[in-house]
Amino acid sequence: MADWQYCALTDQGVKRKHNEDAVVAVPDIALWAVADGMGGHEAGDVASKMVVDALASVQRPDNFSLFIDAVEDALTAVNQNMRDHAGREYAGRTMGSTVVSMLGADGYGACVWAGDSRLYRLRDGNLETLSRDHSQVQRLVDAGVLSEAEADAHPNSNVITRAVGGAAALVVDVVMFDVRPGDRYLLCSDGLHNELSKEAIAATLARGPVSDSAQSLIDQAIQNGARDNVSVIVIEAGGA
Amino acid sequence: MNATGEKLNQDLLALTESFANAAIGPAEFRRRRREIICEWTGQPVPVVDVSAPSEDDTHPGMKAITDKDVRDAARAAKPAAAPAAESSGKPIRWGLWITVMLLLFAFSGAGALIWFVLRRSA
Repeated sequence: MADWQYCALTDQGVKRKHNEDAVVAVPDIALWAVADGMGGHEAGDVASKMVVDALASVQRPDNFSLFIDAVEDALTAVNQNMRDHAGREYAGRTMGSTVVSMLGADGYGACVWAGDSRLYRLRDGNLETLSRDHSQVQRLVDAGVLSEAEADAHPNSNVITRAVGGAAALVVDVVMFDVRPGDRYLLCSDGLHNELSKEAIAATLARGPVSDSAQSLIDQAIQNGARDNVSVIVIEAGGA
Repeated sequence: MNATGEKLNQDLLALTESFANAAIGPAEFRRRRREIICEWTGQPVPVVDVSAPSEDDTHPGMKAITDKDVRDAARAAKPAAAPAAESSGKPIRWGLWITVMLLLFAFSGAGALIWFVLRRSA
């Protein structure tokens, strides 16, 4: 398996009283994920923790397609558990979590996600968004109604269309990508990409060791007001 | 992302969309996704028991969740919780109390009348 350097950080931000985000890193199987919980204190934080706990217990088969199936199965199971938990403990109150995960292998990787937490890749100075938000504004962008810049400022930019716990059956999206030594990957919650421009993310991601990049991303989000919880995982692909 | 990668991901996203819209079943969805991914990774396509519980016939139905929904739900949950807390003691049965009071009043009135009549006749 490729050699990976990573740093995972989460912060409650400036405005929120609790941190409903959660991060998980399982380098032994090259799996990293960020979850952004919804539902308020003792619901959102429980939701995101349920997601990361489920992912932390995933076993990695040799075949990469089965690895993706295993991650999807874990998320499907936690989707049902979360809905049961919400019905039992919160009288059916909304409880859910976004999830974005990166699965690594030699020369390639996969992104599995639901919601608007994102995976970026920085290669040769270019920042590329590998995931695609499950949100109403993203649908408008896909349909050519809005530009990406207009989408960021849209009043419904926080309306998501998929989440773990959001529906009886969970559908996650999967994309594959090639991995080269030196690539930097960023998993983050919307608390980061709502506060920092793509240019700022790219510049920060390129700077210093992964731990410095991760801390600097959090610091900048806080300096910009951090209206939401902020979570980042910065991963660098080494040589095979 | 190169052209091959873009085509691969378009295929994967379209396949997931078909599954989300119930155009294909879960087992077919997984089988085709494994084929697409294995073609990319160069690994052999695994043979999987399609009767496994994770590939049952559940289909998705998506509902948008927003921060506003969460706030509204939290607000709606609070007033519902308050009466439940207040009514946690024994409920007061006002109808029963009024009936008992009226009966007592009627019996004492009747008693007073009987006493008055008997006293006059004695």
